Amino acid sequence: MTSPTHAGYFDANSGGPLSEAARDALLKGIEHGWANPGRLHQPGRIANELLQAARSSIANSLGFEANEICFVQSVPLAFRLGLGGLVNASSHKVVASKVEQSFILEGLGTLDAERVSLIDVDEVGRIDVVAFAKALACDGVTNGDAATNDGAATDDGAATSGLAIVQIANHEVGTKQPWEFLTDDSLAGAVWFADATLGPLSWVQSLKLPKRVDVAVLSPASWSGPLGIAILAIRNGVKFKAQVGLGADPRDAREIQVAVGEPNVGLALASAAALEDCGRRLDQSRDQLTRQSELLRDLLTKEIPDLVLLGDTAETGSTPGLVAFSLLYVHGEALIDELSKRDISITSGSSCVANAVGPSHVLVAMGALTQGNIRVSFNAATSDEDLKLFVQDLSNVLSELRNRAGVTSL
Amino acid sequence: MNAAAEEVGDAHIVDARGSSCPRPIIEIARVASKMNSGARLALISDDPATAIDLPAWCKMKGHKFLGRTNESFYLVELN
Repeated sequence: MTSPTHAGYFDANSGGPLSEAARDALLKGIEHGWANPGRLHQPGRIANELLQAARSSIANSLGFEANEICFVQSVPLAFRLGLGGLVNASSHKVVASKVEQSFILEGLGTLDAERVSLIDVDEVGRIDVVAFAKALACDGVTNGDAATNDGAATDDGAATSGLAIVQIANHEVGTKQPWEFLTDDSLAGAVWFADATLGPLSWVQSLKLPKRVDVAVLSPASWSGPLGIAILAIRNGVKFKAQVGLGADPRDAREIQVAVGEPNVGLALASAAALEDCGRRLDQSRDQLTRQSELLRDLLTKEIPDLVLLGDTAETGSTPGLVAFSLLYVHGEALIDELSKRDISITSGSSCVANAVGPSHVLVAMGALTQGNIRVSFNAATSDEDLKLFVQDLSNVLSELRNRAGVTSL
Repeated sequence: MNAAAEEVGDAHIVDARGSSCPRPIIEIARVASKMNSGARLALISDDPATAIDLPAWCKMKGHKFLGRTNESFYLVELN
């Protein structure tokens, strides 16, 4: 069997080759942490020690307490557990944007329509914060539970107490959300459930998540950690009541962990090691990927006709290493197939690729061109040369496809 | 269809029903390339992506998107 190539791999955000530190940690987990960490026998205790070390390391990196970190088996599961626990814990209003991950939007679809507000985004996918704050402040659902909210709401009753679901940055186009609005005093009582799956480069200056985040979902793959593991971080004191399994009614991260089972020790160790590694290189990676994203956008704009860049393209508003665009007159799937023949791996939100019903809800909410959609995500292992070759190949493939369809001069 | 046809007026009709993304936009772009500035085109399309892609195409090409007159009727004025 041949190994996949890295040079043309542009789907880094959904998983990629492990960093060396992560690979070593994974092996350590396999060699020493093979027993069930939930058992009290000696091998179990050793596995548990390794697991707790991984948990402490991740908590420390992200600015959480160790007992606030819960490992689950996948990102969708983390979202479902997180959302379920928060909406079960109170009857307050839930406000989210229209560009959240589909797992979130599907979950919200099962709640009373009156309880949920979905907020519009502008053409780069940025949330309308005024509308968001207003919807959050109008907490229409008030039963007895509201008065006993043990969150940070003030006694005067003016502060909001709803649930704010705000992604740190958009997973499809990389636009950073202006989440700072949640630090406004008037919104102090709201619980913030953050989608942080785009990785540390999508948030500020260090690995630590903003203090304001109450519950977050993170994906180790986003920092060159492994797939098959995700993190649900729940700050102590946040009202949480998940319904997991038969009879289980966990109320915090530790109990959730018991309910969903302990993770694979190797995957947890690899996630922690990759995150530490990512932290050491954070400034360097950010500088490199910011410069390379700019280079890629420049090349695309110059070399490819009938192309539109998507999302916020300004340095301050975009996630380094994620560039999204759409191309007129081409079929997304045909594009992916042709590029794949040239060992280039990309992903698309075009309807023919995303699903049979319609184009990506993110592109629809932005009013962005959905045909010939491409999402390029890369990490520090990608060279300038890789990006140049990608644009050259894309240009050739496009000319071929557009010539064949007779749309070159339209 | 009568009410929509009246609203469409003197617009040239491009019927792309039954074809899916990116065909409807290719169809209207083909007709548009043979017409003069100021001409009005009506695109009939039942592909859900058209509602997003037609205004986006107009913006990229400098045409004026006049709106959607019913579920599958879209009006465009060429630049």
